[in-house]
Amino acid sequence: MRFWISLSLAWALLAGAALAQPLPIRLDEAQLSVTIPQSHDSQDAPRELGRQLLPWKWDQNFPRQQGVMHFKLDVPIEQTLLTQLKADGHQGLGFSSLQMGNRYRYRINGKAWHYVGWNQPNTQFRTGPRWQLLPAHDLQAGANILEIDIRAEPASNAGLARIELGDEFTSLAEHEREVNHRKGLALMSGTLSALIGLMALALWWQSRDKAYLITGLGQACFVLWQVDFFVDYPPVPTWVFNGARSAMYTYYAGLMCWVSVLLVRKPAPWLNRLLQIYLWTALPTLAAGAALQDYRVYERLWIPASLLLGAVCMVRYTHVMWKKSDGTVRLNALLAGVTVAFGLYDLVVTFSPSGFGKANLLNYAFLFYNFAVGMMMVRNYWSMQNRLLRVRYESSLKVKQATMIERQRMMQDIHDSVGSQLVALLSLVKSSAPQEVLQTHTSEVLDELRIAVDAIENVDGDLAVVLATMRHRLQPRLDAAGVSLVWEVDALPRFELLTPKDIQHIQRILLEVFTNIIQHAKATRVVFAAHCELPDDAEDSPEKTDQGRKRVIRVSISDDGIGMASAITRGRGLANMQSRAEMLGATLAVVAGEPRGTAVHLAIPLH
Amino acid sequence: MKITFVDDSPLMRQTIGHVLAQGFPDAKITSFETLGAALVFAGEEEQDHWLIDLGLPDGSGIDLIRQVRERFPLTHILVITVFADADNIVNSIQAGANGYLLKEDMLRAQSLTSSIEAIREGGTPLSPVIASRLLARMQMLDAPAAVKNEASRQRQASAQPAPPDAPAHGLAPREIELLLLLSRGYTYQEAANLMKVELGTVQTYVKRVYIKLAVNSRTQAIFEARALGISL
Repeated sequence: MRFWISLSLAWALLAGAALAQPLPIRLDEAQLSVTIPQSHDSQDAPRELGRQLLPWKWDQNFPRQQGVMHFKLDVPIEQTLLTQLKADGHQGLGFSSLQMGNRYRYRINGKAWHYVGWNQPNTQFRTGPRWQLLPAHDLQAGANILEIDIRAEPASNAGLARIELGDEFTSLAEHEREVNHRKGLALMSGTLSALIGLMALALWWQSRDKAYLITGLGQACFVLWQVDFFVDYPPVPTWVFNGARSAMYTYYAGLMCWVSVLLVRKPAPWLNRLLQIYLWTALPTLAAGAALQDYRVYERLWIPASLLLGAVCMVRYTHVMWKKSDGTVRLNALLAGVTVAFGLYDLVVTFSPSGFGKANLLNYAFLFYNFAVGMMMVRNYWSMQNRLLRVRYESSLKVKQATMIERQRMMQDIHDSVGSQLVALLSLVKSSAPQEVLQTHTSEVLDELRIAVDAIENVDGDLAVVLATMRHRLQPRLDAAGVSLVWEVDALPRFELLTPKDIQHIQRILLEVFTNIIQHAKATRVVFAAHCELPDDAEDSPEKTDQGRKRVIRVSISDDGIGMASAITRGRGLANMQSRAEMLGATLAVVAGEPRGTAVHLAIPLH
Repeated sequence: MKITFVDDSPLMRQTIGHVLAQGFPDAKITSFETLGAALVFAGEEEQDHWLIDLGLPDGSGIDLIRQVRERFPLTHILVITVFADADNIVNSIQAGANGYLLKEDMLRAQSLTSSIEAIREGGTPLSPVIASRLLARMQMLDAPAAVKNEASRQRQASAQPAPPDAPAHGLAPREIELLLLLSRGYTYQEAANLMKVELGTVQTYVKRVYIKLAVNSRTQAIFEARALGISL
């Protein structure tokens, strides 16, 4: 008996289940009328728009206007479904939509309104899926009328997507899954992007490489853009929030394109110009669009523009980077390509009527793309560090080599001049030479040593300093000999390739001249002049003047002594000076002075 | 009068001690041969003159200059040197030295006392290399200030004429002019003639350059970094 009862119950249940109305019930058509207030006070009559297919977007039909949409939807409900609800103890039916907003209220069968954000000043009910409960006691068998009034803000993505009525728990669970999925994705990409952005800014701080700064700013835009997913009632007017949001996206895309251009490192003036136009015009037009509360400038201009620019940059980037057989670079290039593909797909879907309220594929692509950017950045930083280390190593090698050569030269100098003179001095001391001879000889050794030290001094290629140092050393001797010196040294151009060896040649020549003046010329007045000029022959041929860098430094020392009869023209002195001048690449002339004395002219070409 | 000198060569120490005693008969003269002993003494007693050799067996005389200068701002500090090589002298000036004496000139009491007094009055004669090195170093130290100055000048250009003030520790145009002349070999007197000022004015400029360099020594690290071509 019991068995039969249970069997018939089970049968009744099965039959009931089979007969009950299938869930969910999909509604994709509604009777629509809209109210658009012409002014604040006037009570405007609703305009009938007849039956409309869902999704229905406000901005596509009434751009730049505020208003209220009145949707009336027929919901056929069978008695079996109502019985079922009661039997299961459910409170009612869940109804969900991927997009319903901005602010709205709804009621079923003319019962009490349920308000959602209806009186909030600013709303952001645009991107999120919505779920509401239709209470069972308001439902009736047969035709039910579901009324949804939606207040639309201009440029706020207002409208109504398709509606599904389903089992209270199943549809709620589905709705929550959708919400969590979207927010989770936004949270994940936002966090990742924030990390990458901070890293980029830190690297920029250290390296001052523009690419890092732009990456950091781009990622900051991305992070701010993600805020959109978490704010239902922003503290600023909706249109301001929307303007900022669209600017964030537009600049994220633009800045990342810029980074790709910088990373490619191949000049492309047209692309730079395009980028400049993009970055400079985006903000004013977006601001104007937001202020006029017209979303189209963003949707119809900047989203396509960003995707097209992105496509150009990323295809170029992919093309260039793919050729470098480096795993990270290739992965980066690949993900850049995927991002653009997803974006273009989204563009097509977003513009199709059925796309309203669907989650964008681009969001996934961004997650991966940002990750790839982070990877690329770390890789670049490492390679830069390695390059830097290598350069440092190489330059330290060069320094070592130069030091070695310089050391050899100094050893040679010490050996040739100071060493041999000291030995000679020692022999003088041993042979009990007179006091004056010893003193003169010792002073000479000291002078040799000073000249050697002066030649090592770094003068930064400033020949005037070399000449001046010579004077500084010789002045006491000139004073002692009663010779007055007239000094006329101009500021001379830098002589980048002036080596210690060159300096030594110049010193030796000058020393020879001055020694001669002090010891033999019987002069009382010496004029020392140095200036820079173009060579004489440069003046008559224009080509040579063109390469006017071939300038000459002229040094002249003229005395009023006994003239050519003095020792300078005799013996080793002059030959020595000539050979040193030759090694310098300079010319040396010793001529009779005007009206008397000797003049020495040294012409050193700058090269 | 109290004079202290530091030199590690016994022969030199003996000579300097002898010459100083001759030149300053009333002075109390102290001498050291190592940096360590001199450093201890430097903190204890104020001197009128310090004569310091840079190459000491246990360290550089520059540390001693710095310590004396910190403790006694008015003490007269001179470097004693054979070659007056530019880097050492410029570093000493930066540490707070007032000038340098060539060891060769210290052999006779007459020239030593007059040199010391002359330096106290008008500063050391600057060798051309030192002048050019001072100029380069001061300009490097000034670079950031000069840039800032330029920027603020441009900002103010539209509103009002730029104030003619130089950066706080930077060289004045006349000081730069003087250093350029000295680096080209002109003597103080010749430079004074060319600049149409008194010799005393030139000496004042030189002293001022010394002080500015010492004040700027805090930025030494930055200077060195720049000289090495390191940009952070």
